[in-house]
Amino acid sequence: MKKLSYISACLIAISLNLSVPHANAANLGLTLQILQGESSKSGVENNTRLWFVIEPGTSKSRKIIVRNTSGSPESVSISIGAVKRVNGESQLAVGEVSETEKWANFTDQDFLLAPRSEKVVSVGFTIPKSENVNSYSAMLLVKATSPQNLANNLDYSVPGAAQIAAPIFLGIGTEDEFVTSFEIKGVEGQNTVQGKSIRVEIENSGKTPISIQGDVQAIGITFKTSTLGPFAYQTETIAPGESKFADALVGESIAESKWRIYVTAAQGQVTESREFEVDIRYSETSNLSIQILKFAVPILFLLLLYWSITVLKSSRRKQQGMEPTVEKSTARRGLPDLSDYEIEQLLAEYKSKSSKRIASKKPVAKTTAKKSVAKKVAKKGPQKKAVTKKVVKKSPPKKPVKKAAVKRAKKR
Amino acid sequence: MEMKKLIASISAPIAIAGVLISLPAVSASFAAEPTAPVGVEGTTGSSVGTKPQCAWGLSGVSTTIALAGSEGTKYDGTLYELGGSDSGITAAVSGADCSWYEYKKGARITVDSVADPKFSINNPSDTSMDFDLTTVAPLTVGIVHMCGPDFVADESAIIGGATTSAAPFSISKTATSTSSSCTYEMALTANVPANKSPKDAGTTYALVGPLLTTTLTLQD
Repeated sequence: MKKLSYISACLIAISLNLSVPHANAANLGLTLQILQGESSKSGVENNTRLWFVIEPGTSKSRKIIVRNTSGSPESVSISIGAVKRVNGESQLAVGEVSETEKWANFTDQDFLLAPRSEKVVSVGFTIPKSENVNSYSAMLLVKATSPQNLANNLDYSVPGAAQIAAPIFLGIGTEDEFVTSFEIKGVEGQNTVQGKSIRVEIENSGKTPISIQGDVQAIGITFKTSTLGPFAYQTETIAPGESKFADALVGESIAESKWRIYVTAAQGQVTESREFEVDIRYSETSNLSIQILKFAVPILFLLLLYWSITVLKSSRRKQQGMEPTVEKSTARRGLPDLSDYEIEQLLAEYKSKSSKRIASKKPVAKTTAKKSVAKKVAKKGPQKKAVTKKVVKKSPPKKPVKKAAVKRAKKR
Repeated sequence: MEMKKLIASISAPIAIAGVLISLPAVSASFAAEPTAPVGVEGTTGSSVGTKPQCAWGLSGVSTTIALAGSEGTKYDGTLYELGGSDSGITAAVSGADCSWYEYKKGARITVDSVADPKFSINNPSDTSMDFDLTTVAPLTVGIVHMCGPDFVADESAIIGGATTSAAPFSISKTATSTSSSCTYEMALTANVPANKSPKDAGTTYALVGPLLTTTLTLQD
């Protein structure tokens, strides 16, 4: 699609004999490095992510390094941007203002960076005493533009800017109020693009975001083996209340059979572990569809059981001389009773067949046919006869069938 | 009715068996209690050199992308088509010999412009050649990259109209390595509308389009 769009754009340009000028202006280059934090007791800030837990009335800051990797000077501006969550992922909400912007401060917000130079900047938040316990997501934006206006000598131009955005988590409250807590929910085999993997599900039950690193070890149950692994895995950032999967690539080490799987998961100083006994099957279907299937199958069986019981009960009532509820409801709606209809059809069919025989053979057969039909109906019992009559009266389309069959028989 | 009864009498034991078999599968998804592993105590001491921390970088973004019409032509009051391109834009992990340690990061590239984009000479006394970029007459951005399968391509890479935003590609945190890199090209097209009368005909109007910001968003 992208290729097509680019090719079509170029083709339009070529077909119109456009000169398609390549920018001879300077190029922008930028890197952003977040230095490891060390201010937190709980470990929530002791990483290279911009995670802050700040008590109201206090402030905290983290250091970042901004590098100009281009051969030209750059104007750098640092700001805070708003965030939107798309499919469990934090994305920049362009044009929106973050609630945290008013508390942010920088040692340098707008500065000029010489070619191939860098600058260390402190990014911090000062939280007013009146603020309540709450958590926020935002983006740190580091934007580089050209300090000179290079568009003056061009008829038509589009200016460009390079920007790096880093997710921010800001928890307002004490570190005790922002406890890191998570749970290893389950494991299963999964066929991924990289190969066979053990998929681990982690749920964030705490109040801070987490990004779990851990490993999986396995011991065979069906076929006794030594401990295999550890096979490492890492999750994307999991927001509070959310759960995510991570795949530990095992390749051909773990075959499809019963295994005892040990899973460990760590976030800073918090480590959790769990043991599972699972029958590993490498499926390509998503876990969600498996979960749906797990619930749907018993529900379907329960519905089938309910229907069977209802039908069997109604037939028993019928045998005991009670009026069946199912028949009642269909009669009320004016729908034909299927079994009676079948009887009618059988009768009509039988009559027509016998009439054919009568027409082709002897006239004596006519009485025999009539007799046999009468016998058949009589065998069914008196109540059946009554029902047949009722239905015949109620449903007019059956009459013509009968008549037609008789007429055909007479003709022959 | 007999048929119904027959089906019901066959399906009833099947349903019972099905419920009995499938219910444990549901309960299994909530089962198994956690068991803590046995810790191993021990101390070691050593002196080791460490590699620098890896970081994502963005390079090759042009400060100005020049657009032009057909060679030797000028605007004459009819629809005038413009085109231009920017190549060699790269999102890459910086540093030849670095490590992510425990804090690997993914990356997502987006291209955005300001709301209500337009081409203007930025002179309030002469807006005769200024024109808005609308859904009908947009600034079209075609993006193409030849990066590895780790970089997931976004199908909605064409941007244009009143709101311009595209996410050409991204790479997940788990797929990122110390040498992940992706270079792409961007082709732009726009039209100067017909029936515009320049206030100062015969002179050159330097029309500047909306600022296109290429953002590399880190994925923690």
